[in-house]
Amino acid sequence: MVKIGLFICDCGGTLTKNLNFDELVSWAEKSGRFAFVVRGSDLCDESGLKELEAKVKKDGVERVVVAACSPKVKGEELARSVEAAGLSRYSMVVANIREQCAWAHPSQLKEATVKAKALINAAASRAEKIEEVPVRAIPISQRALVIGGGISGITAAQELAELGFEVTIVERQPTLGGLCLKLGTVFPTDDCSLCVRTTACPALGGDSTRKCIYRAAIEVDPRIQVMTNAEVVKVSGEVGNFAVTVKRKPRYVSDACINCGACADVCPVSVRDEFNLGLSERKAIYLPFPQAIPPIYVIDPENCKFKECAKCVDACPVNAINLDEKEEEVVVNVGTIIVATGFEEYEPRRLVDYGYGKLPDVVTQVELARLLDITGPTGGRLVRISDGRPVERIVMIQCAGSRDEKHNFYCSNICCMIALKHALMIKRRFPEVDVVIAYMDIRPVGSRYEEYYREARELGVTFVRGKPACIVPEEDGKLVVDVENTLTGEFNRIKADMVALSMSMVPSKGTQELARILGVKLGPDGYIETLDRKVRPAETNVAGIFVAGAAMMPMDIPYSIAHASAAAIMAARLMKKGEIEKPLLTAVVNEETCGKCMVCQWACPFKAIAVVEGEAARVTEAKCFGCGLCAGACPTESIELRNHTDEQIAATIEGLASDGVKPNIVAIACYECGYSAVDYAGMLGLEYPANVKTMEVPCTAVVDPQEILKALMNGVDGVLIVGCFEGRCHFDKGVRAIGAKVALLKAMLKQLGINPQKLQVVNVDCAEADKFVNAAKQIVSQLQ
Amino acid sequence: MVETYHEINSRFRRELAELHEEGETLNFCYQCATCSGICPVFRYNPKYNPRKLVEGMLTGRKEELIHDPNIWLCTVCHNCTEVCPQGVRVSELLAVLRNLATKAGNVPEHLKAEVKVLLETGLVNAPSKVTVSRRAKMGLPELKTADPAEIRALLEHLGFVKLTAKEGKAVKEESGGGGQQ
Amino acid sequence: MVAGNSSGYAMFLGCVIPNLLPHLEISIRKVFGKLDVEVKDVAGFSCCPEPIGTPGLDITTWVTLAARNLCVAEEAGLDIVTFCNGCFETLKEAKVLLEHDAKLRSKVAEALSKVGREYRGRVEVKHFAQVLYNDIGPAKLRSYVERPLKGVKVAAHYGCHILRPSHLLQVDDPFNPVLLDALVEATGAESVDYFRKFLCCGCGVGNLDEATNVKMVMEKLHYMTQAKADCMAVLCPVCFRQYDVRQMIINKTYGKDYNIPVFYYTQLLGLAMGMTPDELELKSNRTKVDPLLAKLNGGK
Repeated sequence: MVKIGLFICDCGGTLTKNLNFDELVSWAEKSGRFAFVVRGSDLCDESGLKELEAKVKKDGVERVVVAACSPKVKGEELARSVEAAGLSRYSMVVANIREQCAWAHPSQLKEATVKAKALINAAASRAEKIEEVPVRAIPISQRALVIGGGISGITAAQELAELGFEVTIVERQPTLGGLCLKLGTVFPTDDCSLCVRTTACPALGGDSTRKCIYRAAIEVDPRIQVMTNAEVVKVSGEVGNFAVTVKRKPRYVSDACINCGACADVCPVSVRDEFNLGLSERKAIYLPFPQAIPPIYVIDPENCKFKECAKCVDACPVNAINLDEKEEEVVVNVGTIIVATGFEEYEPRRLVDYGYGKLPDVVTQVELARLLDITGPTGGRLVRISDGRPVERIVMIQCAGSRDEKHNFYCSNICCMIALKHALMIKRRFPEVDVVIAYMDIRPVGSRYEEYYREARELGVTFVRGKPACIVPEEDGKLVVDVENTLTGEFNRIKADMVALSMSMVPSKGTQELARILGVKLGPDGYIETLDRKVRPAETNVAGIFVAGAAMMPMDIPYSIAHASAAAIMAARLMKKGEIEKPLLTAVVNEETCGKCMVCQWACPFKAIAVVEGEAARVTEAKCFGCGLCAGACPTESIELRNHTDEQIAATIEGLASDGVKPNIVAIACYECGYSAVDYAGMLGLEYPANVKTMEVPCTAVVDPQEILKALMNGVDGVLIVGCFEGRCHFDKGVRAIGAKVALLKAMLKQLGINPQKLQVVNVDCAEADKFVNAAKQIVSQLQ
Repeated sequence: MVETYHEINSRFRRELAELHEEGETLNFCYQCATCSGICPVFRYNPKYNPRKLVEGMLTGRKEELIHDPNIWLCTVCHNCTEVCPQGVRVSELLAVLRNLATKAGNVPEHLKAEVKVLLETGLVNAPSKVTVSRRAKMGLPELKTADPAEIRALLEHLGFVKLTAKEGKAVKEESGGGGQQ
Repeated sequence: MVAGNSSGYAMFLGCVIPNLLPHLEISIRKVFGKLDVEVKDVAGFSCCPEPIGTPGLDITTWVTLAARNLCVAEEAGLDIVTFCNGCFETLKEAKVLLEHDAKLRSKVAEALSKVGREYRGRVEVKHFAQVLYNDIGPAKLRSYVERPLKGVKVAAHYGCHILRPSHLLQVDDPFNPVLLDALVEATGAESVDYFRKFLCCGCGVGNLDEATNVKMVMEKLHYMTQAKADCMAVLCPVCFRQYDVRQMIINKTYGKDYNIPVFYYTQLLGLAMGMTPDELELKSNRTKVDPLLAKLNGGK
């Protein structure tokens, strides 16, 4: 027999109004289940906690049952006292006789007292079965990987470096900078797009509010390793120790390059520079742009003649060029990963009626940014691409591919501001140019962004409310934009020299493949889904992998930087202790009975369990959240959740049913919104029948159908599942999993001739106490 | 001074949603004007504006719409339905609206004439003597079309004959509220 | 393919071709006579009925008459091939609506029972362009071509009711269709891209607003001319009339000089298959096709 000590607290005497404590204590003493019974009134204050500690120590009990308020209220303090007494914190079980008993049944003194006994019995039964929980220390590498070297990736890397970690940045392009490189001027400051925050580096002018990317000492920071022209191709391992395989495409120029340009001078191959819409030329060996980081030339292998020519090799004064360089794969070991792969414009050719690709003067906003950039192909002059004539009128089309069920259903967030920024740049520099913006809604949402809209009106930008249907060319080379101005109800044919499409923004090419490699979840928009869309904005579903910036949603620079900082903090928080200390309240696989069917792998929202190469399912403890979805889904009953085993759940149910009331109802609540809603009902004094007795599990999906059937056969009249509402399950798909199981079970019950109403589900938000109370009343009345 | 205002109500949109399987798509309209921008009729004739029709359906302008002869201007090219970024079945909804207009006696003359030929021959372009001889000259076979009596019987049964015989604004339906007050 | 129906199709010619444009029927019969697909005359079809006015009067009536036509083909054990976009939309859409909408299905069934018919939903409806493109295929079609229309620039005009509403008709991508362009290229001609390719012929508005109809036709002819098209190819007799007859009227009435010969697709294919203009009754086309024929002969 396990030695259990019981503490009953009447909460400063207040609970005696609703519960007969004398009867409760004498019942407990006579039950023979407890080595001692202590009645207290202030168990949770300092002296009460000390007394508990002393009593546990003195009497040498192995388990502690506390009958008091909800464990969500004082559970942590009580657990610390139990620990101080030398026991594991998991040796304690709380019987919630306040929120879920005394407060919930104020007019049922007798019934509530009976229920309290059942709650204590259940806690004692659970305490008997409870196991030790081992704690594992997982060493965590002090290096982080940042995938993507745009503004978000750079920011995250700088932050982590400042926080004392080593960082590797992997960037697909030959230079850092990302989409920002092409933008020239950006909102909300109307200045250069290439500022980043500083890392203090006295040689470069010390600390200041910001620095140009090339003066920010990123590539020379000893803590930051920059790998450009590189892609992540494989990731193995888990949080703490990921082994990341990076494919490095040859650059053909080593870091001995002194950026003198002698190679490009002699290079005979000129090609159109895609960076500038093909309007300017570059050589086959080139510097992607003047402030490129690293400041090293690169050879474009599609156009270079290599050994046939090799003039650059001779011209290079520092012998930095190696035409034999090969692609290579390197493995980087990191503790955490930050995905900062950003976004790009949606393919404008998909909007067939706008004629992009057929009409050279139809451009995207990013292309317009190149035209307006003084270092761009036209030196910042706004001229037509088709014939070089100055633009007299430009029309901008908003929501091009956004908010459209046929293209991208979402609002792309930043296109209104990009258009307003460009409209202002044009009006300030070329007041004679007519700017027309065709829009559905103008959404300049951000700190002082509305000022852009106001100034645009002030400077004479024309706003036409309507979405253009098509663009056609006129004989004189002008374009005509057909649109209804919905505010006048007139059909407009707007003649223009140039049309800029404010394209929808989509995740960068390769996001899907990278997500597959990393195991991270994508949202319906194709962007990386965060662990929780409300409160975990920088974490993914995979432990140790974070998301920064526009890889998560279309985001402007200020938001990207804030988001990247958040991601860096999340990663640092994990890495800072050098190891992750994790109590293993995790799934445990019985390797002998595992059928290797992979259902668990499918059920796990966190990619924490997998069947690999015909071996029994393996749990990656570092990733496991202990939700039990795998245990509930396993068809061969080969997975148990530590301390929520079938045996422990059955014992608890048996204890709850021991009072023999009719109808005897057990509510199984998830320990998230479900249990909180039950607590909340008590806090609000919303009364429900004392026949309903609640127990908690991490997620209701952990419950096996067999356990429910067994309960119904052993004296339980009804089972009420209390879970979170669909879409807000704390473990992604637990609510759906239990919902499916319940539907199946109800069908089975019906076939067996058992009233299917014996099994019911209620899905609640933690504040929806009334919903739980109604469900409780309903199941009792239906089964009466 | 007469005050003119329209009282917005949602009865009409619910009615339309009931009348067509895809009628509920109406609710997604956010008045972007892609339909009116692509509409080949609106481009040349401002009396027909599909966006405004949908707006009228959404805000309950039933009486106004079912008695408007301009709803028959639509050329039924379905471009509006095709380009709608929100999946509103604009042209299908227009057909439902026209059905209500027909019940109210709002049918254009050319369609009345078409119906007359249909009721007589089962076709909308019936063979004339010239056609028959021209076909024969070209060596084309004689046409064996449906028995007009069967078609007529079917149309009688469907109530189509009675429906299309209605004149003018014979039927005054319950107003969805509003209109000019 | 729908199980149970024998090979070959019931020809659904509609009202326009046989009565107003019999010369198109000539080209249909001659071309299909040489191809590996059997099209059969079936007695008892009524008007499809046309998809512009009829559904506006009463959707149920429109679908019921269409369902009756489907019954006629069903009784003959044949799938339907249509030669007019309007007939195609009506029959195909009726079929789809009857599959989806139970309320409509029971109303239609009840009406059909009054004339002793029952619709079982076993007939497939195809546009002849689909038969050419899917059953025969552009590659095989090319093998029938004896006189490739080399150097001829054709503006393909799909028309509305073969493509839209695409969610019901499911024929081709409504924004990037390939069907007719591929069929045009199969004749050896070049399908030229032009703006406003999906503009409607305007037939539906013509009865009430002639001016708008005329402007729509002119707009289309304008962009075809801009693209330097030698002629246009259409899949629908109604579109054919719009461009063929109206073009002539527009040139006379508005002093315009559009010169885009209009070919119903089987006319164009017939030429490529080596049939003579006389065999195909091309002299009945109102826009003169001679310049194109001259170009073809000159190009030899």
